[in-house]
Amino acid sequence: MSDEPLLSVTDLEKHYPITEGLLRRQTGTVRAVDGVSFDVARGESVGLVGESGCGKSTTALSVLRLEEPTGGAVRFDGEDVLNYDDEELRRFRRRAQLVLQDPDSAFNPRQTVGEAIEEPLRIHGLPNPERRRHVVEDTIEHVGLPADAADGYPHEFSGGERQRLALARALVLNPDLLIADEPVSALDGRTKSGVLELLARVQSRFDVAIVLISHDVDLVRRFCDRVAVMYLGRVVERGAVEDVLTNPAHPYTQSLVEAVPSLDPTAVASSPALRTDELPDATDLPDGCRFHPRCPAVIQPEGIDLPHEEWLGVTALRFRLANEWGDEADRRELLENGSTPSRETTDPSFETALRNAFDLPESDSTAESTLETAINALESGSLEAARRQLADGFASPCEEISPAELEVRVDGESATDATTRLVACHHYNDDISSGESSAPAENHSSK
Amino acid sequence: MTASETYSTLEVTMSKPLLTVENLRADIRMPDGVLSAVDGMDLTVTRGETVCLVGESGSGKSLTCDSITGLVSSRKIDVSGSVRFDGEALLEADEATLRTIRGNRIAYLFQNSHNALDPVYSIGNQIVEAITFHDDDPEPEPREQAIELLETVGLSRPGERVDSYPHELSQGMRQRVALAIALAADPDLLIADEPTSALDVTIQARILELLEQLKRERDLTVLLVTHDLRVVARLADRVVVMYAGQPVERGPVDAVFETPAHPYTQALFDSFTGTTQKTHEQPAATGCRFASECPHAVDDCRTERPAFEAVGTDETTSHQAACIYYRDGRDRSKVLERATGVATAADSLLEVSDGE
Repeated sequence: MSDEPLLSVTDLEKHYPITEGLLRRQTGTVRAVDGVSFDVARGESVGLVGESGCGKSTTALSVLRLEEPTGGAVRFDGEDVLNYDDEELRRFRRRAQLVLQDPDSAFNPRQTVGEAIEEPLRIHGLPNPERRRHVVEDTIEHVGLPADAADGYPHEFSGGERQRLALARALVLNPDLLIADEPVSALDGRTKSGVLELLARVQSRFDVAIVLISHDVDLVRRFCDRVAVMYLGRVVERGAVEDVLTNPAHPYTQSLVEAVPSLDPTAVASSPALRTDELPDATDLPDGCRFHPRCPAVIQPEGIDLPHEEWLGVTALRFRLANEWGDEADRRELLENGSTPSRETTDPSFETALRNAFDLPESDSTAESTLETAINALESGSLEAARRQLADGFASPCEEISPAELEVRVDGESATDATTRLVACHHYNDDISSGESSAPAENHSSK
Repeated sequence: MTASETYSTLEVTMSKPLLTVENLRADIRMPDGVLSAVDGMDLTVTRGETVCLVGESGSGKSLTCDSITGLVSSRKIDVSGSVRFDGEALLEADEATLRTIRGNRIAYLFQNSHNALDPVYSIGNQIVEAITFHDDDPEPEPREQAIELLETVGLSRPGERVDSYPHELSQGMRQRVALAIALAADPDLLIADEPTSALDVTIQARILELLEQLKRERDLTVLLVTHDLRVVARLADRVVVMYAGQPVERGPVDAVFETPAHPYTQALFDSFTGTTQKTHEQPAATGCRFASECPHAVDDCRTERPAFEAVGTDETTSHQAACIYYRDGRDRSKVLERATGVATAADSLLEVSDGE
């Protein structure tokens, strides 16, 4: 056995063109997967976790070449998957299988499940029908159903049973790699944990490597050895599950973990400290770190050193102006709601209202002069000037430079054999965040 | 915890229940007999509290709600028992009465906001429709009300968004709009059926936050249906655990989560830590329905249906389980011993998720 991982994905890209008109001129690109790297060792389970739309399913399909990747490299057992010819691809697909979320649509309703499970065997060359039947029955028993289930039709089974049968079909060729895309998301309670347990048993028994794709942090925590957290087509953090999910380093991973409600009714409710819940337009992704418009820990530019709250106020104002400032309506609303308590007596000034609403600083002199100019510009109605002023004065490195994956070792990890994790965040790059005293992980724990 | 607990129990005992359900049954007529999908459900919801029905799919929790509001097809399902909503007997009420109560006094929030919203009308129109449907002479202007409601449910810039169409909004915003429609008639009771199950985890956190805030600020009364114990922990004041159409355990959320008493509740908690799975046994026809799957089942379990018994030593506690082991003279420690084990498993999970 070599040290090389079973599956090695490097800088995988899947871009979809957006075309318009009769000539199908390309007007844009959706970067569904944009430079994703991860490794899967033999027999281990790796979780891909992230919100819907982060590209985790597209990653799975691209790895199996069910979608043709537009860039990057996929190596399986030392071979270059992207250079496979048809015959090699067929052999590859025998060794790498896919299980999808919805077991209802995974089976042909007019076929018995036995026929469905048998099909891969027939295609991949087991000519003897009796032996095929034998293998099918054997596999069905392995997934915890009686052998005679083979003669049933899909509708005769419950959701959990159908998911077990879908798993049987994936396992019947004895694959080395199983990609499971939200395999238990359609199930609940004990049915869910049952299928999960089966996956774990299958993994140890058949020594199959599993890539588990899920939006459920708890599920990945329970099932996987390692995890890659994805956000808008990129991996933001990857490493051992225990490290990444109990002590997340990337601000996005932190938000994701905080968003999971506790099972303890007496626990203080945590909620993610995201600056906005809106995801950016998939065709027009933010520059730099893709998470920066939502990131609660966005880095201050050089020369500016505001207290954290005030800095967030400034970025909130910038964000608001850049995205959704309806001039008249917002100005009125601001004056009504954000003005000082003494508004009955004195005419509220626009500046005070704005400062109150966004919690703007008056402490830092560099910041102050920029702000002053911007507020004046806004008050005199030139939104563009205000925008520009703020953009120039408060440009964060997070929005300019795309963060590379860095090896990070977060202090206080108890496990001595903890693997170093990779984090794509400028907070861990001393060249960029030198002025910043605290990494987000420390912010997080000190709260 | 204890101070607020005493306060809330005090409040509960003082005010009279908004909704009382006694011995509710829903029998589905099947070609080969009758499936009793809700079997002897008892439930009280007091003003201002959140009661949660929890159980796996098929346990009858949604059907319980639909039976209460008369949303089941009488051609296929026989509903019997007693449902009193603010003094009105709902099962005996005619369709016209039910219609005024539904939406007006009892509002629904469903799992899937895609289905709840009409794609061809602006969200403002849909909220206005909900307002005017139940109020002929709305004051102030329905459109003003709609904007106000959108603000209540936390939609930024409601004045502009009121004219947008469902497809222009994100998943989380649509769920907020669905909630705004539910709140349009200022209902006494909100039935929320898996309100966050279809949502992404960060959006789920926001909707939970919003529901919590509405509970606090509007004193909203909620009957919550979910299979997710974490959602229960976050929102519920009291819990009713259902298995195969029957309530098996009920009580204040803290007590039930600290000491899950019924073997089924314990199994449900185990499923959140990954140590249990469903057997292929069908629910038993007589006696305790969980008997066919229960690790502690004895012969008596299969013959007689257990009544609710107090879980603790204090007979007046509202934490009760319908399990034979809690009867006088039985050794409840046999079941509870496992409960401590469950608590440890849950604790270890909590440690992990709360860990820094």
